[in-house]
Parts: sequence; C-alpha cells; structure tokens
Amino acid sequence: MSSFSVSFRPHAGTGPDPGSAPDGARVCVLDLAGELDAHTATEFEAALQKCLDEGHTRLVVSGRDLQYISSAGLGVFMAFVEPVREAGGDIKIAALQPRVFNVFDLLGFPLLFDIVDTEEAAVERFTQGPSTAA
Amino acid sequence: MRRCAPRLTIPSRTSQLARVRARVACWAEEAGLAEKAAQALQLAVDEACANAIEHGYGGRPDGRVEVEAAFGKDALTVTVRHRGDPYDPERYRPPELRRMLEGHRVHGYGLHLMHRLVDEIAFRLRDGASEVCLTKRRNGRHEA
Repeated sequence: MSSFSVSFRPHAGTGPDPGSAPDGARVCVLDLAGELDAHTATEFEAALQKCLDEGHTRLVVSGRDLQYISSAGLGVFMAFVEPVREAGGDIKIAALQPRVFNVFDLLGFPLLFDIVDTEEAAVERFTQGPSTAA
Repeated sequence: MRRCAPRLTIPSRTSQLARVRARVACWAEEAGLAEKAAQALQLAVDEACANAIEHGYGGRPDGRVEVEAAFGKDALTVTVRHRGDPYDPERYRPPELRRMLEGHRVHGYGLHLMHRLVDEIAFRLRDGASEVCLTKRRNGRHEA
C-alpha cells in the first residue's frame, strides 16, 4: 500500500508574530511525505480542507519528503487553488524533489503555481502580492 | 529465470497501485532501463491502472486489472488490461494545457501524462478486454 503522510503546522515565522510572513499574515505549511497517488490523494484533500475550515488561506505545501506524485495528486492542487485565491490567499509549492517537480513541469503547472526552492522563499512570495503564475 | 513474475493481477482498488509501481520498477531494472526512463514508465503504468480502476470499473472494487511485461530487444512494454467500460482512444485530443489550467480542471491530466511519458502508447480491445500498451525504449525519451 502507498506510504503517505500529510501534516500541517504554522510557518516558523519571519514576521512580527510567530508563524507570520514578513507582512504579518499567518502562513500554514503542509508537509507531504511519501507517495501521493490516486489512493492517498484523499488524505491530502482532507488536510487542505481542514486548513481552509480553520481559516488558513496562505498555504505553503512543502514537498521536501515527497517521493512520488501522480495526476491524482496534481488534481488536488487544482481543486483547491481557486477557492483559496478567492478567499484572498494562495497555495505556494516549495522544496520539490526533481522527480516530483518534473511531473508538475510536464503538465505546465509552473504557469499556474508559484513553485520555489525553499519554504522561506514561498513565504516571501506572499509579501509580493497576487501570484504571478496565475 | 526472471526475478519478478512478468504478470501481476490486482483487484480494482487504488490501494494496489503501490504494488504495481514496485513491480514495474523491478521489470525496468531487469530490462536495463535508465532510472529516469524507469520512473517515467512507472508513472505511466500507474496512470493506466488508476484509469482502469476509476473509469473502467467506475470505482467498483470487485474487478481485476492485469499488468503484464514484455521484454523486447531494446524496449520494455507493459500492458494494462481490464474488463470494465472500454476507453475510446478516438476521444483523445492533446489537451490545451493552458486552458485546462486556467479552467482549474481537476481531471484529465493522467492520459496526457501517459502520452508524454512513454515512447509508444497503443489502445486496443481484445477478447472483450480493454488494453493499453506502454512502451519505453532503452534509448527513448526521458521526460520524468
């Protein structure tokens, strides 16, 4: 069975308050680990929904420990990005391993999402206004 | 004597996809595919099996999906076979990705990935079963 986990935490914070971006807004980081496929995509979906339900709209998805992604995982990003942006936030993607980034890239996702090298860079992007990738 | 049996049959459940990927990795190693080519084939086969489970069988868990390897001189072909609703390959059009992305389409990327990831792809109906054959050559494209 696929091994996958997702957890979320406040960003360690570089802004005036704990967990905040430099402009003071709070950022929630989702850490993905393992294999995100058609079986495990529902776990990721539930975690994103929980973030939204708790009022988080500035989300960073960290793929540092994500080993694999299929189109089902990419579909979850697509399902949530619009509601998050409509609520005034965004989903930034950080620290993808090359194998996983290649899948995003094959489908042109860098056109739609900010995909950056580190969690810190993703948080910084929130201070730069609306996503330039959209 | 091959290390991995050349045929794997799974129930139509997405929980089985990791098993399929592990088997494809073993076949790819035996076929001498480079790491990137092996990963590309793994993903393409995963997508084909997920399509069989979710669209062919409509999510019903009582179907069967067969995955079979054929080792050629310089290529590995993996066939995914099921007896659910057939897919009509005539319906496939290379997607306008920008439009799909801008329209926030949640589905429809898997088939496109399959086309991008392998050197040859063929769909056929045989003896009442739907088959998709995915071929990766040792010196073919390395997209993922």
